[in-house]
Amino acid sequence: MSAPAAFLLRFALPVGIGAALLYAATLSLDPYSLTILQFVGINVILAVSLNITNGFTGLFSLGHPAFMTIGGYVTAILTMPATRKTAMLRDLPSILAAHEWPFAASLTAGGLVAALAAVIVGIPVLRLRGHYLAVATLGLIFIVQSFAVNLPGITRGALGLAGLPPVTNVWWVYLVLVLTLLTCWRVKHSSLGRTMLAIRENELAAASLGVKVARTRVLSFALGAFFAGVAGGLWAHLVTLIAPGSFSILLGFQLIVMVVLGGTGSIAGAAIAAVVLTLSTEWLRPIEEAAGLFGASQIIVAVGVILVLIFRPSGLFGTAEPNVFGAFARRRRHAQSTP
Amino acid sequence: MQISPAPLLKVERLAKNFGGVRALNGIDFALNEGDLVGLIGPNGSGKTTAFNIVTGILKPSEGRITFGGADVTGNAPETNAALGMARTFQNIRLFNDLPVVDNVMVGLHRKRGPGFLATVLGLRAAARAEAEIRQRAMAVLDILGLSGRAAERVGGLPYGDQRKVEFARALASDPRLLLLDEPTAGMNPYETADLGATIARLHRELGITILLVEHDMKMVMGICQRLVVINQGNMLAQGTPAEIRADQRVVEAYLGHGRKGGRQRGPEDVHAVG
Repeated sequence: MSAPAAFLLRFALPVGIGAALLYAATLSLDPYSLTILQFVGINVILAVSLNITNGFTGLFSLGHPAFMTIGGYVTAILTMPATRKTAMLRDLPSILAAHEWPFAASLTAGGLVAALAAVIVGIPVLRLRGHYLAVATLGLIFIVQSFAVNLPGITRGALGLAGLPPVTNVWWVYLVLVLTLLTCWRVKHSSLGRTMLAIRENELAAASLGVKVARTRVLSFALGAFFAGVAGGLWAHLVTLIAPGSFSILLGFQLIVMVVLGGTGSIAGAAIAAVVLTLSTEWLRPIEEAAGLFGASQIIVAVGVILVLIFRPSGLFGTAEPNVFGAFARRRRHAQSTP
Repeated sequence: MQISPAPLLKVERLAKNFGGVRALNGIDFALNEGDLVGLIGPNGSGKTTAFNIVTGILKPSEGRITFGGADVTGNAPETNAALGMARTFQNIRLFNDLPVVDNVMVGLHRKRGPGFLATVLGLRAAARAEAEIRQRAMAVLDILGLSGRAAERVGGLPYGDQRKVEFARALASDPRLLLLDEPTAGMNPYETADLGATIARLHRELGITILLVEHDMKMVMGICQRLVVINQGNMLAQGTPAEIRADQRVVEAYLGHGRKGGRQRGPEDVHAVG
């Protein structure tokens, strides 16, 4: 199979089918279901990007809510109409206050600022071994929150930024989702991704082979943070609000659960887990309300995590990807080699 | 006697303290390009410590290490790897969850791996680099007779083959110096002999410079051109296998004082004694 044909089959075809299904969904689904669909997409982006840091490189980061908050605020401030900015955000530099950025540029900027924050935090912390990163990223969530609360001239403090233009729609989410999956897939199946997995498997051996351990870790941390920042921007413009408490440690925990359930290192696994968990919490909500058992779904999820950790500690897929085309190609090769 | 060129690796007055314990106390040795040298000594003599200092995993307390004319004392392992040192580990350290060929490919990233942007943008150059890396890794696996197991998960391989994968991984990067830390640890005599033959063959065919830390005297005596013996952190002797075999201090370090009137014993007996 030639390279362009493989690309068409593996990438363009699924993306095209996805777009067609999505178009059908926009025609047939009610607005509530479409919103849920967008949350599903955003959660897949978050879980898959967290999987770069936690799954590929084996770091334990809880920091996604912090990067989402950073990305969400940056995107929100940039897209806000200039008149509202000058009235509401008095400490904003005039160069930002005078202009209203297009959504794509704002999202990118949000992602880049989040990635920059990850680099700044990562350079000192990622030199240390062990679970320092978990503690440091936990602290980062609260640091970012208090910045958001205490810079009222830029963020409107605890009030948050409400009434954002509702520019996020299924197509934006789908675009970012495809870009996230494509980037993660390429990184994982490349020389670079292999060094990340090598660091996860045995750091000392990787270093002895000339892998730049500290730099690769910072890179994977920042790459995860970039997509978290973009997802934060999407989220903010979906609910048209961002406040210091929008993205809490609880969300960080749910994302960790998705990665652990799906398989640390498996892109498809994290994506599937994100879809299932987002939908099931949404569907269980009316049942909880009817039965008067609020929080039951969280207990079910937590028990599920414990069971997975006992019986399948590496998650449902481990590091592998369920490769339909690969299995097909293998069978054909096998058939050719045994006439 | 011919004038020898500047040595590839030179270790001078190397010393290491762990708290109050002096693990190494002034070790000197040198390797020329193309040498196959064994670093030997009884258990706890400081062989692996010396080895870890040379590769950069431990920092020396005193002394100087030069490699290819440059001072590499206290360098990080990745820096030394970039300069051309490649090593294996006494307790095998493979990337267990990865296939055999991927383990070898990791060692090729530093020299040939495409950058981040080329990878993410899916540039043609990245795909070509990836194909080259895979080809080179397969070629090295072929040298060690492992190409048939390239796609297997390395954690599932038998012990002897895992050792060979470690060799392949180290060899793939075309190192200037290959450092092997007790490659026969945990092997039976048959596997040991097989591995010794492999090391000798790599040295002969690829002309690669090798420093071998080893416990198994028989194997070392058979393949090394020169031996460095250390005992309790001190230099004990240095010379050809024949010289070392005849050196009474070495025999004593390994076996203690011989009984009066007992038969003359050589270091090979260590193997038999266990």
